[in-house]
Amino acid sequence: MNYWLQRAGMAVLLLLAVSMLTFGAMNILGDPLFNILGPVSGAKDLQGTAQADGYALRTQGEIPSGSYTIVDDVDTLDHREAVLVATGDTLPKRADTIAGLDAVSATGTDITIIGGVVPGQLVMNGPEPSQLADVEAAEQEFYLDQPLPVRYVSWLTDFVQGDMGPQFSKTGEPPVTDLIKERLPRSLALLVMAQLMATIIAIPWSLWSAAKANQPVDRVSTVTTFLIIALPNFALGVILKYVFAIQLGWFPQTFNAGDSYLEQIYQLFLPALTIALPAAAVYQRLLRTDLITTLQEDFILMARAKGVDRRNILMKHALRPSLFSFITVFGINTGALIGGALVVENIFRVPGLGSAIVEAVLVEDFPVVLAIVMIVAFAFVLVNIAIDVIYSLIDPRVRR
Amino acid sequence: MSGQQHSTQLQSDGRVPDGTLLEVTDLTTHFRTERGLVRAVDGVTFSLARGKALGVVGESGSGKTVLSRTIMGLLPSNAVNSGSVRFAGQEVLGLDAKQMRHLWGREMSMIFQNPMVSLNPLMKIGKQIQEPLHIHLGLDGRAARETAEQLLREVHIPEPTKRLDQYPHELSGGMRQRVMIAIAMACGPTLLFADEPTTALDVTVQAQILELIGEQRRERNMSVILVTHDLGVVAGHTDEIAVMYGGRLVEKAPTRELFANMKMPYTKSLMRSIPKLDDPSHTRLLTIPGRPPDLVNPPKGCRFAPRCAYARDKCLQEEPPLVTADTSPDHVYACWYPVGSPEFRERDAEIMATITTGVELGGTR
Repeated sequence: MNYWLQRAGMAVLLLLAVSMLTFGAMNILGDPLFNILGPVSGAKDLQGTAQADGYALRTQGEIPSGSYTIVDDVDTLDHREAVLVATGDTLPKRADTIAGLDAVSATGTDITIIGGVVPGQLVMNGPEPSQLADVEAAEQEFYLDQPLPVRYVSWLTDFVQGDMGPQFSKTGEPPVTDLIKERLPRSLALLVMAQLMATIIAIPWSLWSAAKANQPVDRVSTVTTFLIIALPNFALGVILKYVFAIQLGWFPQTFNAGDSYLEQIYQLFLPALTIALPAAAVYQRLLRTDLITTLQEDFILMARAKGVDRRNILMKHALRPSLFSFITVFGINTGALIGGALVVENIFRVPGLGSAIVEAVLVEDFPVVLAIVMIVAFAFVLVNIAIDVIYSLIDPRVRR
Repeated sequence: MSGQQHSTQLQSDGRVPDGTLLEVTDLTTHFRTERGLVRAVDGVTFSLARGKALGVVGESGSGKTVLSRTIMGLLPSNAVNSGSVRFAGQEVLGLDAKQMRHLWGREMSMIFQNPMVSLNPLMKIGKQIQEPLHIHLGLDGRAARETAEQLLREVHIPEPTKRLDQYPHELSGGMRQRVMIAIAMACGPTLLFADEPTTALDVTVQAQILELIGEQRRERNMSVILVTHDLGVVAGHTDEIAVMYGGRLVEKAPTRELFANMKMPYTKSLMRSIPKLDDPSHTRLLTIPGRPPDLVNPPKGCRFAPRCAYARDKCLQEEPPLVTADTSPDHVYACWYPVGSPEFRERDAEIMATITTGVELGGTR
């Protein structure tokens, strides 16, 4: 009892730490206001030069009075530089700081600031009063005028009550909860199918391989596992799709969220297999090695001396003690795959959590990122507890 | 329940006639390794009568464990055998695992050295005892459980009912070895191999386990091959002793005869390396200098000669044959200058002289 309380406490601490780190990281990455309001600046182009189309910039650090315009805009993700020119007009209300600037040079009354401005930062270039009102409203709604720890606590309070916040990139609608409700079951189905397939493939394969350890067939199977592990996921996915969906036509090429559950499972077969094959190869490696080690134990010789046949030696005596590394890696894989099946999701057009998190990171939609990160972290915690329970079911010596 | 037990015993009584149970003739076991052919057992011949106990003694690497596993057919796939092993009149050497499986656990059983690792740690004691009952006697369910409980009672395990549902780690080493014996006894075998059954146990438990094996042997008219490195262990619990060195049988005699008239200097050295109660405390134990021979390239001549204090040129050149001792027709040994021969006595006197001088020197320091 005490043990489980401890475990639960540790899990909560872990989840808190993960959420804090992610929350902090997302705030470094971008300004939430940008996502809510889009390019607010843009206002009047005083110099008639390039506009901040698509990107708003917010500055940090003391700037003397003047109004600013973006001379050289950031228009690609890789290109992270922008030149701001102060035109000596009025001090923009919010342009009180400039972030990550590499150089500031002053020429007469104009100030040219050359800096590494990250896309998504907001510069208020003498905004219109209506825009300013938008900004203030948004700041109040999402606590953006509060310091980071306060914002974290308010986010956490909402989150534990099941409110994952608005999707910044979609003007707050639909809420993140809806997105998760749509994506999570799909990702879970894919994960469960893949892990089941991997286990069904790996266990008989490793038993067979261990029984014929170091014979030619075992060597061939070893080379096969390495081939499957070395093959990149997208290559395997594309090959499977080409052969079974396009050439043979046994499976549909893409996923359709509108179809019935049964059809969806059928559509998920190939993506699941793409995840399952490399996983099965890894499990086979682990199980085979552990089985070979177990088969050298004295109790196996004892079982032979009792007259137990080969099949039962493998199934009843050798398999159970050999499962530990397999189960450990199985657990880690489960946690990693829940939000990490991006490539496969893309190849087979399965909108799951993996694509959701990547899309969200690209547009700095951090309520979405946070929600998915928390789900993955929670999955890790659950899987870990499950693994401990399974350990104790398998081995009476670790029971408490 | 006891009726069940009796029936298995009767069965084993009926299966194999009295008289010679096991005949081993010129048995060799070689292992193919990267270093070359390891001659683990090299031309061993002996026979064992029903109900008798044979002690096989030797240092580690002498081939004694391989000998017992060869007879039982429990060898890894890189082993090569020749010679003959006749069990109850039937040739068993060269039978494959499928055919041997009917003998394993039913006619021949084995107890292993380390009870800590020889029981399946993830399987309940009861299930492990019931396994051979199911395989060989077709016992299941209640009958199997009751027989298992009876077997535990016979090996003097307290609270046998409770033990059936326990796991090996919940039992002490001595208890686990008793469980191993119960498993080995389950189907009433006619031949039991006990491979260093007491090496991993407390001294106090050792005697109990040996006593238990002896008791089972008498009750079941079972033959026992007791493999050990400890002459002291076999002394009180065997009818005959075979001494092995470097894969060869170097001396074999009835137990009493061997202790009275040992011929091989090697046997004598083994004897001397046992601590004795009447020695004063802190007496240095006599050890055998050197290491057991390399079984890939065994020495020419007598294999023990390079380590033997009594060896002469002839011993290094020519391999001594097994000859019958003058003291008993059942006593054979392989030595050119056996204990008691004039050459042996001459060398012994020299050795005793050096030892005494050594002691005096030590005293003056």
